[in-house]
Amino acid sequence: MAYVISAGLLGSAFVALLWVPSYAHLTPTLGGIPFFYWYSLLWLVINSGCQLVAYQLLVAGPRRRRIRDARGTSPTSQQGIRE
Amino acid sequence: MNLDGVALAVFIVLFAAVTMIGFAAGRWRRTAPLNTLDQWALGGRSFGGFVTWFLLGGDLYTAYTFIAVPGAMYALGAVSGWFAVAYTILVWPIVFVLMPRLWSVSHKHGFVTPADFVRGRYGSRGLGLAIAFTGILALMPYIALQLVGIQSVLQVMGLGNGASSFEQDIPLIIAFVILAAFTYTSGLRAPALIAFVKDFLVYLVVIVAVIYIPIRLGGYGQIFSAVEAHANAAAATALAKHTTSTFALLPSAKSYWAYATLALGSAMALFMYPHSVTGVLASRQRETIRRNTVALPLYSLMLAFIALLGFMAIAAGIHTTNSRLAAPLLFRAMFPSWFAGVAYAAVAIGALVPAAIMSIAAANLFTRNIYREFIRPKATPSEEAQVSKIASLVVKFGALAFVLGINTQNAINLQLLGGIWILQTFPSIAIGLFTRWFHRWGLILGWLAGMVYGTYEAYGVSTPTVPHFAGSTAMIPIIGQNGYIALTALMLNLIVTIVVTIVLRLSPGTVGADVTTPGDYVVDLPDTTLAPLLQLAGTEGEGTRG
Repeated sequence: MAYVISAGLLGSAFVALLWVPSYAHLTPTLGGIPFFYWYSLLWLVINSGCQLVAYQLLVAGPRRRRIRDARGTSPTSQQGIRE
Repeated sequence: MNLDGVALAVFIVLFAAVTMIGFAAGRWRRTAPLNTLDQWALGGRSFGGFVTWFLLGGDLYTAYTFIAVPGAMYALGAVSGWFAVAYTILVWPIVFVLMPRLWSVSHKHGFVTPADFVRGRYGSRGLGLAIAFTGILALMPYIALQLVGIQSVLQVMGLGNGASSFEQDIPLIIAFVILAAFTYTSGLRAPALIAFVKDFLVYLVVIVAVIYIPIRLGGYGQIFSAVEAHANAAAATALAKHTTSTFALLPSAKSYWAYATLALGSAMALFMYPHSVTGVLASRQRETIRRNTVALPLYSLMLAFIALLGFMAIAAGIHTTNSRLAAPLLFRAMFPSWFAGVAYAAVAIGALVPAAIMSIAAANLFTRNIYREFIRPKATPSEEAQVSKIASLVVKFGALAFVLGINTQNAINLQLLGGIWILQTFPSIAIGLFTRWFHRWGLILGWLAGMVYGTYEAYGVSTPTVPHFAGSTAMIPIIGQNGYIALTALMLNLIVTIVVTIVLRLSPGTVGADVTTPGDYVVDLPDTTLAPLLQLAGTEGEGTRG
């Protein structure tokens, strides 16, 4: 499940940025900057956020679970989710 | 251009300081003599998250960013310039998916180059050779771009405008000698250490430039209005001459495919380059890379602002027929001399670091995958390091040949040309990280088809002033739109690979041996923060420190 969500998150920037006709417009402008330009930058931020979530899902989360399991404070099994 | 004494003095002081760091770097973090490839070329594989961030960012942040992209924005606008922003965003998800696997398998088997991996994965020396050859070839125009970047700032400072051709080439020769000398003596540690200075300078210049210059020009709104007026004027002039304007404020229906394929193709290509892989393999842990991809888009943001310098140059009324001078000329027009000197130094040092990393990577490829594989299989580690050092010099001469042999005004094309070649290694490297269904001979024939087609198409691109290699887009067969040649060639490459694989899979015994196992792609060092805890709890974990 973590893989599917991560794939969707990481894939979204490709769909958004490669579908050029969807954003090759002058308006609406933002502070005088045409839509095409600020929308690209917006996706830079969104993509970075997506990567952060994917990192949490695939790497940091499982590691935290392993630590918790190792301490024996977790009600769940020792198994944890493999990366 | 007349000599700018103050700027030149500042430039020389900064550049000299960096050169000294470069030579001193040979002793930084040294745990073993520099006479092995691991030490000379991978910095002892000891870099943590912070250094890795700088190193990987350095791969992206080159003369491409400061000279080629603003130049393309200045001369051609959105399609040929701004696509770089989409490209440098899309590259990070690709890194996120591919690079941890490459790190693991390389760590497990001691691979130093992408060609090492491919050779081990498919049990094919020939395929390894093809990958190594492509890496070296593709890096030459990319290194050439760095030399062109340094040359551009020296030119704007007033050097190299002499009458004789020797005087004109002096900046290039200076750049070449400095680069060659400190890579030779210090290996990867030199660019890794200078990367700190470089980034500090670059950030300083970029932040000042993107705040100060728009204020002088009346804000981003004003800048874009000026660019819009410029685009309309260019279109009117073109209409009067019965041609179409080459400058675009927005991609038009005719250039959607070009924009998308340039962005995607470049993003897929970047981490096939051996120097990017070097940056990845030099990190200490597998997940260092992924964690970094969250912060690495900061470099992409910087690139976007730097791209806009090309538009600022239009708004500031900079006139040059040589678009690669657009950003340096803007600095000259806008900044006081001393700060212009800082800016030039940032650009030049920003070209030096990646050029050093690139030539080290190309040298590694030669040593490990050509010299040791085919010429002297029994080479000792110190002999390998020595051959690498010499090969790094030879590669730089190759780069010089590109500078002299290809029109460098449209500097971004140098990088795109390298991309056409390097992307042909994508099936072997990137897809090979997940499956080895492809047959090694299929991969070789596919590669050959892609290389020949790509080179032929790029050779055929011409403009009225430049007969060959004038650009990197051409008509995509079947789709009938203009697109990046690299991706079209990759499609041909994949089709050939798949067809040959299907045919050859029918005859067993031709599939080579695979030295890797599925588990090799996910191994990591024992987690240093986790291991003591695990040990404490008496569960798994060896507790050995990495």
